[in-house]
Amino acid sequence: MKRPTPLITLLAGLVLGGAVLGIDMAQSSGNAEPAPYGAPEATVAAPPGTPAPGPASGSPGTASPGPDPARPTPPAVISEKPVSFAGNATVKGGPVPLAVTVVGNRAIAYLCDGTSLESWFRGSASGTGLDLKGKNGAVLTGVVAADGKSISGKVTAGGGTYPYKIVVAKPPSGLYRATETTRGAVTGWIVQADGRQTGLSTGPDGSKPAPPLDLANLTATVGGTPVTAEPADPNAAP
Amino acid sequence: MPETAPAAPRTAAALLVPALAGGLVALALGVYGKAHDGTGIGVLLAGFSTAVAAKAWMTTVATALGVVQVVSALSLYGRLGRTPSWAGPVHRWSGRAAFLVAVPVAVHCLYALGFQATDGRVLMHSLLGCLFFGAFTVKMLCLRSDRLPGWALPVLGGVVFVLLVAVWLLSSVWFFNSNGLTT
Repeated sequence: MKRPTPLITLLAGLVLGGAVLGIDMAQSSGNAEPAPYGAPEATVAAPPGTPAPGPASGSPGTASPGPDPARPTPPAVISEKPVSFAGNATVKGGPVPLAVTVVGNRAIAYLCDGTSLESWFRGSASGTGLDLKGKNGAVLTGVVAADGKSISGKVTAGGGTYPYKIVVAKPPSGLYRATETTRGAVTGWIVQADGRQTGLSTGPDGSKPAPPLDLANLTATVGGTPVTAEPADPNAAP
Repeated sequence: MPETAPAAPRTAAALLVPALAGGLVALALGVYGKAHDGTGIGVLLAGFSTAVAAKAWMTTVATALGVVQVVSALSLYGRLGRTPSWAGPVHRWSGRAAFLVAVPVAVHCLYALGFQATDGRVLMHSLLGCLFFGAFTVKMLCLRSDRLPGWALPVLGGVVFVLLVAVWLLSSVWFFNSNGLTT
């Protein structure tokens, strides 16, 4: 017995690990949705080039030189710092909370009635409007008011298209999100200006109303497990 | 354990190369897990509702085999009375099985979730999980060395077992506690 069996064991582990990794990667690159974990990823194309952090005219190198009827100059961003808008969409005559957080040229949005309807959206934002997408054909578009204090537009989710209007939300109102990677659950909270919270916690075992979020510590107890929420970040990994 | 007379003097220095290799393994796993964003995607084993449940059970199997490891090792060292002839094969094959069950779990952890420090439990699990595979590598590389002091293998085996049990407590036991014995 002078064969290097321990080395063979290690190599077998390496080969097995590589094989499992290969299968994982093949699954990831397929079109399978990473359903149990994370939120829907937007499929919107990133704006060409990198919209300069600043006035629209600040990127002469990458933007088209001068006004081009086919390609309007990229408008200024709403805000480089995170800014949230909260309010309601009007769904079948009733209000359904909606919140958006914009950072630079990216935005994340959450529409949630607190019982069954919910959709996360991600996409691009500019000084004039939003263009976000979510799972199952959900779309959110909007136009920013001239004073930058409100956004109004249309949101398509759950089989209908509904108008909405949301206004700048001063912290701690806004949009919060907690991801439990181990359980594969995502919880979202829309906090309105009056402090009212709406949200759902969705995991492999379905959705349930989000527990109250402690806005001082950004903590909540989801299904017996303490979780930490964060202000929703459009640039965070889903 | 009866052995042929060692040619070289037994010295702990013989641990150096295996220890470096094991350290590199642990470091590589940690760096990979940290550098690469969790994809949230992993192979789902048939019969399990979620990948996490599958992992919890596979880790439990590996830990049970780890107990077999400790008992068979005690037997090999003559601590349980006369050593049966099958103690060696049992030790080797239960070890191989435990390792091969643990590898897919680690791949899923590293690929789908990554190294995380969201709370104390998760941080400790990430750290100890990387260390486990490093310690296992050291132990494998030391098995055939004739120059190690007699305490080296039992200590290394003990370290590997303790790490495995700690990882199991921080993941499977935690998971079963909060979710019940779900498959």
